[in-house]
Amino acid sequence: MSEIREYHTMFPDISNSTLEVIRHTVTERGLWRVGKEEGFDLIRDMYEKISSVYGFPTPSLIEDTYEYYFISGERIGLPKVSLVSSLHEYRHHMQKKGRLRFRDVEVDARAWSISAFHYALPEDFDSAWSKGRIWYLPPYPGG
Amino acid sequence: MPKTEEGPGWSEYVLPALRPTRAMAERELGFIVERAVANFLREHSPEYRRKDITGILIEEEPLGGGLVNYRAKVAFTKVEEEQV
Repeated sequence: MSEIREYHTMFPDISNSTLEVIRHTVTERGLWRVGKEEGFDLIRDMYEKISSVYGFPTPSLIEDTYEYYFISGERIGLPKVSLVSSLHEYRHHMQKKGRLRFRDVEVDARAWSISAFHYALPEDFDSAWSKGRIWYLPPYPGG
Repeated sequence: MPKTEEGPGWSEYVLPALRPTRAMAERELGFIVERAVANFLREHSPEYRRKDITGILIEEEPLGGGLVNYRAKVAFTKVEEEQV
């Protein structure tokens, strides 16, 4: 089975509260307009708000060389500010708390994070997809 | 260290280590990440490179006797652009 799939439609039922947190982080607080340090702070704040939606403890976030989630330490590492990557790693945190829809944890995390972006910010999603700036999606329809 | 499992776009490696003290835990995590990357590159290079690693999921399995197995699942794809 290929890792390339239509991940953006695999979670059509993400809570409105979560989608609103994502919208607020990007459009009102300017995740893509701020510098790296402030961007990391915005992601920390987004994690705190999404965690309160689901009733989970908030994972810690550090800047590191690679993108990862350390399960027992509930720690996320990111090399740069990325909405989709930050949501992907957060989904691994949700998996630890029992949320898993697709058997393969990577498929599940790709599907949740890319769907969340798609449903929260559909125009930005389309633009990013058309520029090849979302990993694991098939080519943008129509080129 | 042999790969233990693989799926669509990921390979998992088991990395034995001494259980770190609390003070050493952060540094140890960095070593584990680098060992996982080295295993990945040994297996997948030159088709895939360091930049093609999209994420690493790390699980800790205590073995007793001060030992621990880290399971590191390395996800990868052909990365052409930075992810938004």
